[in-house]
Amino acid sequence: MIELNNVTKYYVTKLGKKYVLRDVSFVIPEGRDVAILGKNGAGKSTLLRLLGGIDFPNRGTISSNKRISWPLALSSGFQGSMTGRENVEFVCRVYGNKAIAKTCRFVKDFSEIQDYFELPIKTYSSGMKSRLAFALSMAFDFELYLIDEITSVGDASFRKKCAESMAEKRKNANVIMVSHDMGTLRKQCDMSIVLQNRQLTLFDNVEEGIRQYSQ
Amino acid sequence: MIFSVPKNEKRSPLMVMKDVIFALLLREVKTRFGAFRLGIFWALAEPMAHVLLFTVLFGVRAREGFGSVETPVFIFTGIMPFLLFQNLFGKCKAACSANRGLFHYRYVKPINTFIARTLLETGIFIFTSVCLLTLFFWVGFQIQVYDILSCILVIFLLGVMASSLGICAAFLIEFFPESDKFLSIAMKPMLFISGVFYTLDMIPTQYHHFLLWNPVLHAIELFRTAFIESFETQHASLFYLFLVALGSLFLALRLYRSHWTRMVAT
Repeated sequence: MIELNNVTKYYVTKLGKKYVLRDVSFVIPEGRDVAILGKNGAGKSTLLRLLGGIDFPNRGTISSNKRISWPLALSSGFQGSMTGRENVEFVCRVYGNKAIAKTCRFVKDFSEIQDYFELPIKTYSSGMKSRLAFALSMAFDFELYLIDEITSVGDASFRKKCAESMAEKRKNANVIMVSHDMGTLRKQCDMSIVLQNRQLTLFDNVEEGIRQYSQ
Repeated sequence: MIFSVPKNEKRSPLMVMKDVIFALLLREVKTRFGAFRLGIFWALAEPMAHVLLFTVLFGVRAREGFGSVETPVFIFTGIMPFLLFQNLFGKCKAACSANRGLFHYRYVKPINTFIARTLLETGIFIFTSVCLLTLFFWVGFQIQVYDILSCILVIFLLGVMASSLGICAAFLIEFFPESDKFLSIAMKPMLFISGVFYTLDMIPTQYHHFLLWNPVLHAIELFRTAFIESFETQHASLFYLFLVALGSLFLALRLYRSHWTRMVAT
C-alpha cells in the first residue's frame, strides 16, 4: 500500500514553477499492479520516483510499508571506474544483503558478461551495462518493482530469460510501470493512473485508463 | 538457474545508516586510491611536497629552525591542519554532486555522503600525520608532542567547522550554481592567510585584527601551541574556534533539515 497525502510537486524553472502534481491524495491498494499513463512531460517518471521514495514532494507526504526497488535496470547508479563486482558489492551493502559472494555469482552468471565482471564498468558496451543492471535488479527480492520504460535488453535469448525471471518475481511482488506500449501495460497491470493537467485520475482497470488517455 | 537471495530482516534506521556509510566509505576508498598504481602514496605526496617546498624556501633564506624545532616540523604543524580543512571543505562541498546517481538507491541519503567523506578525510589525515612523523623521527628530527589531548581537541573543532562549512557551501551551490566559481576564488588565498608557514607573532601588530577573523589561523596557532612545547600564542582563542565550529554546524544542519530533498531531486 502506498498512501499519498496532499502531495504537491513542482519544478522551479526560469518561467516560474512548473507543477507536476497539485494537492493530490490517493491510495494505491495492496497487491495491485499499476500502469502510469500520460503524455510526454506530464510527469510520469517523476511520479514513479515519488512513489519509490527516491524523489520527494515539495509539500505533503508519501508513505509506504513496502520494500520498493530502484527503477529496474537502472545503470546511472554505477561508477565507471569501479568493476562490475565492486558496483554489485556496493548495492548489496546498501541494501543490507549479507550474501555478497552468492549475489555476485548470480549476477555474473545471469548477465553473461563473463570476465568483464572484473573490469571497470567504463569498458563495457551499453548492452553489457544494461544486462548487468538488469541482473542486479533480479538478484534482490522486492515487494514492489518500479519499471520505467524498459527498453529491450540484449538478444532474444537474454530477453526470454529476463521475462521468465520477472514472471518468477511477480508471483510475490507487484509492479508500477511507465510505458508507451499499451500491449505491455494491458498484460502486466490491473489498474491505472492517468496524469493529465496536473491532476491525477485513478482507474480500477487498465482499459478505462487507456481510453481516457487516448482521448 | 534462478534462485533468490534470502529476504533480509528489517534493519533499524540506525543500522541502515551504518550500512550505507560503510558502503560509501569503501566506494570512496576504491575510487580514490584503487585506480592508481601507487594508490595511497598520493595521499602522502601532497603534505610532503608542501613540507619540502617550504623547507627549501626557508633554507635558501638560511633559516635554521623556528625556536626549538626544525623547519620541517614547524611546517608540518601548519600544513596538516590546513590540508585537513581544505580537503574536508572541498570534499563535502562536492559530496552530493559527485554521488547524485546513487540517490536512486533509496537508502542513500545526502547526509551519508557527507559523513562518509568526513570520515575518510579524517582517516587520511591521521594516516599521513603518523607516516610523516615517523619519517621525521627516522631522519632524526626532534619529535615530541607536548599536549596531545589539546591537539585532538583542536583538530576535532577544525574538522567539525570544515565539514559544516563544506555542507553550507554545497547548499549555496545548489541554490546559486555560479557561487562555486566565487568560492574557489575565495579559497585561493587561504594558504597564505592561515599561518601555515609563519606565526602571528612574525606579522606586524597592526595587521593582526584582519588576520584574526580567519578561524583556520586560530586552529593552526592553537595546534602549534599544543604540539610544540616552546610555542605560546597570545592571540589565538579556542573559544573563537569553538564558536565558529558550533555556528557553522548549526547552520549546516539547519539548511540540511529544511532543504535536503533538493540535493536528491534530479
